[in-house]
Amino acid sequence: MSNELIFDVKDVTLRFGGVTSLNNVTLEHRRGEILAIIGPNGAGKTSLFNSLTGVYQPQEGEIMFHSDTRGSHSVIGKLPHNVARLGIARTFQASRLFNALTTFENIKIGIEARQKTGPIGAMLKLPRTRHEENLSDEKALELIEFVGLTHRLNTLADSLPYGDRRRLEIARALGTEPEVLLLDEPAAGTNPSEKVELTELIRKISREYGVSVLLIEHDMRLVMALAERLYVLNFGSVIAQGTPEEIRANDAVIEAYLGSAHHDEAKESN
Amino acid sequence: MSDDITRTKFNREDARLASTCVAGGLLLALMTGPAGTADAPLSSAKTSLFSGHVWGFLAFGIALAVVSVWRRKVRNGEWVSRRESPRRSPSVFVGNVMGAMSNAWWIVAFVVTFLVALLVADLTGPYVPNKLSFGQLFTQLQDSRTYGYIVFLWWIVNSIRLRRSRAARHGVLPAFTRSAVFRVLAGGVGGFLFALGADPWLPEKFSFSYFTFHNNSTTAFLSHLPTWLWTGCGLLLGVRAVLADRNKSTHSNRLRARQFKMSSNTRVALYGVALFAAFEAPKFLSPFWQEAIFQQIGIFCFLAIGLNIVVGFAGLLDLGYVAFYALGAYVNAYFSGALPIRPPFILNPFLSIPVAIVVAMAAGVLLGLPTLRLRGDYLAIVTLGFGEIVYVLANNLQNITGGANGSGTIGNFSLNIPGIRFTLDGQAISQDLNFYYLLLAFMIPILIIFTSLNNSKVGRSWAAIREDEVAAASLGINGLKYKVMAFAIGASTSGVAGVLASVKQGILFPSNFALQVSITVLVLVIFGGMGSITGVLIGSAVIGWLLQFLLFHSFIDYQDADKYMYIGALLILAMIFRPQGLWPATRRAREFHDAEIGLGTADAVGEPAEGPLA
Amino acid sequence: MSSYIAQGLFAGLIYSMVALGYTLVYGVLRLINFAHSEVLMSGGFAGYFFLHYLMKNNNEPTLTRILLFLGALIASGVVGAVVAMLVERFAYRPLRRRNAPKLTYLISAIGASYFLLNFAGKEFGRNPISPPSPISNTFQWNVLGTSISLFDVVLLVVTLVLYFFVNVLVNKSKVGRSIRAVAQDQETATLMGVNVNSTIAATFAIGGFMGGIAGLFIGLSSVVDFNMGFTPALLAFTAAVLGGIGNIRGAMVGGVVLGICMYVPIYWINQPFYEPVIGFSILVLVLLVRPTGLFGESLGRSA
Repeated sequence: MSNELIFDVKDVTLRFGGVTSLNNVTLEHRRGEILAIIGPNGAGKTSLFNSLTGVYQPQEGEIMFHSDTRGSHSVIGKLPHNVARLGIARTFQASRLFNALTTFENIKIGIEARQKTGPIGAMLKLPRTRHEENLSDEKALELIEFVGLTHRLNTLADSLPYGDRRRLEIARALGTEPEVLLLDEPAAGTNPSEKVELTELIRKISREYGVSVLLIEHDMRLVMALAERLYVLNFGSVIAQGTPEEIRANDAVIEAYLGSAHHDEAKESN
Repeated sequence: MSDDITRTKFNREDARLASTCVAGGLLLALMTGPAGTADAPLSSAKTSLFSGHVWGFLAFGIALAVVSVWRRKVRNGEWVSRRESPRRSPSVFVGNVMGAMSNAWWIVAFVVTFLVALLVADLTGPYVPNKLSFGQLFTQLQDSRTYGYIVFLWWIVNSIRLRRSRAARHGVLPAFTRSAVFRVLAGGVGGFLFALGADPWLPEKFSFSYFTFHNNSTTAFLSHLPTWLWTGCGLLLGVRAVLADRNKSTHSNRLRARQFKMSSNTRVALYGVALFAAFEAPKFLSPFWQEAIFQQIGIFCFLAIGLNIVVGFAGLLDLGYVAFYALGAYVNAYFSGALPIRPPFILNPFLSIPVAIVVAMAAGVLLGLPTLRLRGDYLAIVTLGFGEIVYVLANNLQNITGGANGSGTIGNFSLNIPGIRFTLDGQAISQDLNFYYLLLAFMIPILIIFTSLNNSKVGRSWAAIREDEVAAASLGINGLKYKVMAFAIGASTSGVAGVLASVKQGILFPSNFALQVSITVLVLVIFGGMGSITGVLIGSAVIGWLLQFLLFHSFIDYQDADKYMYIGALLILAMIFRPQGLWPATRRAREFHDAEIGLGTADAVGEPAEGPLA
Repeated sequence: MSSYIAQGLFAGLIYSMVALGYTLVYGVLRLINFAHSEVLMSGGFAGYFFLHYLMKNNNEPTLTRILLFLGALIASGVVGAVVAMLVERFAYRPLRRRNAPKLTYLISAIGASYFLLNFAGKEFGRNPISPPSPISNTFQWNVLGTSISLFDVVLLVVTLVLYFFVNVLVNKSKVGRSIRAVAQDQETATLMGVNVNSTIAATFAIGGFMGGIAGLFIGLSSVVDFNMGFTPALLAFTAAVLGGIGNIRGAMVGGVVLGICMYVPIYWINQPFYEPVIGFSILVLVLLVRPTGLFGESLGRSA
């Protein structure tokens, strides 16, 4: 994990009418690290993700994305598909798969989004189109093996069991060859053995694909095991940041999660 | 409780169902009755009430109500029949009959195939006066075509059977069928047998200087060029089958979830059969139907295939589709010198086609870009307005379009390149089917192109945008670009259809470009099956045929203007009961089903920046 | 020139009446109700039949005329409301029950519009007819260089009164509250005990009432025929977008602005058939430049 930044978020404020969803949020995501964002429900975590991917436009602050190969860009002001093209991929809290398509087709769409075939090539089956089609086929099969969904190759996405849906979404996001992967509660609703597999998968992604991971999670055990650093959000503000050990002992965090009455008890049990 | 024979009272749900059925019957009666006038609106209703078919419809409505209520009660277990016994239920009886038949499948299938082949050979035999008489059928047995038809009907049936029984996949076929030699030979022999049923299929007006035609007798069969053409095609299919194993690109073909899982070879061959039917079949139609095939059904098929891209592939609604058709037609008229304003140079209609494509596409982009950026549903009304504007302008700009009285006459299609030389006169009343074949010549490449488009990255991106635009954007797919692309491609197809139709019609009247045409094409696409090219063709054929048929054979009061009323009702009913159409694309049908249970959307009409819900 | 402005103004009033129907339905259901043009037409026919059979000759005393006119207003409004509710009940509600995708609604809407249009053509004949007018032509005033007839004044008064009522209805009454609730968030409204089905029916009824009355006015000023709803409805939708879809005040202002913008250029071009062309171009222009309209969308959105 280098000290180079991939995401540089400075003083971002996001408001909806009278509600301030993000309040002066500053965040640094280093290249290659697995960074986790935690906090109670409604703290603004998904809003942060949406701001990082161009779905919401914060009124104040700046979000800089420093790519390895494509230079540095500001995310604010770009449309979501252009942000994705910078190399930022994400999954959603409730899996948004293309339900009427098969696993294979879902992943292919992710890979193809990067390819340059246009309608003319597609209509006339030009050699370059056919070549790109073969490439995307191979890559899709690779990715399917990587996440362990080979037995579900031709299954329609709406027929997949819950854990497989999650994995498919991650594989599809990986297909876009991103530099950073934003995972929104990837372990939500999974059972303990699936959680273990998921932890392994995320570690593999970080190691083998060199992708920086930014994840939102509620499962503390998973977060503590996986994350190298953490940010804690509450009511739209960052209330703490640091390594898992530092966060565990942090007063403000304990108060936010458990309330101040439990503050002393928690301190003693630590 | 299940032992008692219970009867429940007629409750509110039943009353609603019954009243809907009766009201439907009444409405149907009014629709099919004689037309009324404003001076005496009740008189048509009075006349309706005294005509026989109207009472029939009412009775139908009441019967439907009774049956629906009865079915509902039986299904809910509320109303148990006294004599219920599984062994005597009618569905079991039918099942037994089918089971018995399936064991004697082969015999039945063979007899049926033979008879069908005989019939087809008889009906498609040219220049024969007494079709379907016994003497004629007997004579047909001496013609090689009959056996050709038998062989390839048999081949189709067998392919389907093999697919169904999965024998092919489990390797029940002997090993030699996989050898290269066998495949190539089988292809060649198959092609030859196919040629047994084929005929020189091009009418006499065409004269390809490389080809010469012999007469139709069996002895001259071997010197038919088409015989060798079909044999050659078969050989090529065999070669393709050999190469397919070694070529990984067909891997992805097999990975698609298809309705009928068949090998690509079988599919190609089936297309060949369809092509053959498209060439052969129109020749034995009466002149009225031949005209109808081009004018009504053919052009509408063409338009429907274009609209299918917009509505079916991309999931948008275009209500002014006829405007692009008009643009194409007027472009051709302009460059043929038929309009009051003179063009800088005269172009052959073949050359106007690229111009029409460019114009229509430009119009599509100009119209679609601002609208689609916001909402897909605004596109509907913007296109509606555009269609209306084009109609109004065409009608009123006398010095540009010739106004309501039509433009001048439009040029002829002629082609003068070495080897192929022919002229199609726009004034020819089609005793022959030249325009039909010209249309086919354009339609076939377009079908091929659009099918590859749908199975490519672009088609998948369209599916992604239809399903979930937010997720697609998160992958880097630019929704706006693909929507405008679909819209423009659809528009350009319409432009081409406009050029073709304008040459046939000769004179352009703006009334040909009214809104009705857009709505009719929409019905063809929707009724046939959005997003499925086969479905759209079937829908166009069925409805086109029906509309013509009803003009002469209806037992109800049916005038030509009434057809739009039925079309409107058909649209509503289709949306309520079967939105995916007659022959839907598998993916689309799935999408509708998923949308109903809340998984994703099935169209691109919602606001693009809907935002994630979580 | 001022006569063109006046013409535009009064045509615009009719458009605002129709635009209200569109704007309400779009605000609540996010659906362009294509069948609204047929609501207009049915109001026109209802008015025609009412006046045709009840107004015996042209020399009725004033009181009778007023009563006839009010009667025609109510008849066309009620018929319009009924037709709108029937369309909702048979063409949209089954789709709502099945959670259909948006495209399906639009197709069903256009199907309903087409069906009703041609059904009326079949039952009532395809010749344009003209209802006898209870508003006499003898009164004319000269205002600002142009002449305004009694008809125009009546139109203005009726439109303002109706708008006032609708505004009060939507903003102050219980029905209005439920309409606004459903427009904002249909699911939550259900949880709060709002009967969504009857609220939606009420929305259609209100819009239909206004649309029917607009049909009567169109019939009185020109003709009634089965095709009469199509172009005015298209332009009224433009007006609704121009004012800001979902915004009631916007519909009113949008109609008038559109009317004036459509008629004034004719002063220079002098070709009346260009009016719908201008109207349509305004639609595209609005979408390009200010898609949320003059007043912004308000019925379904938070600040």
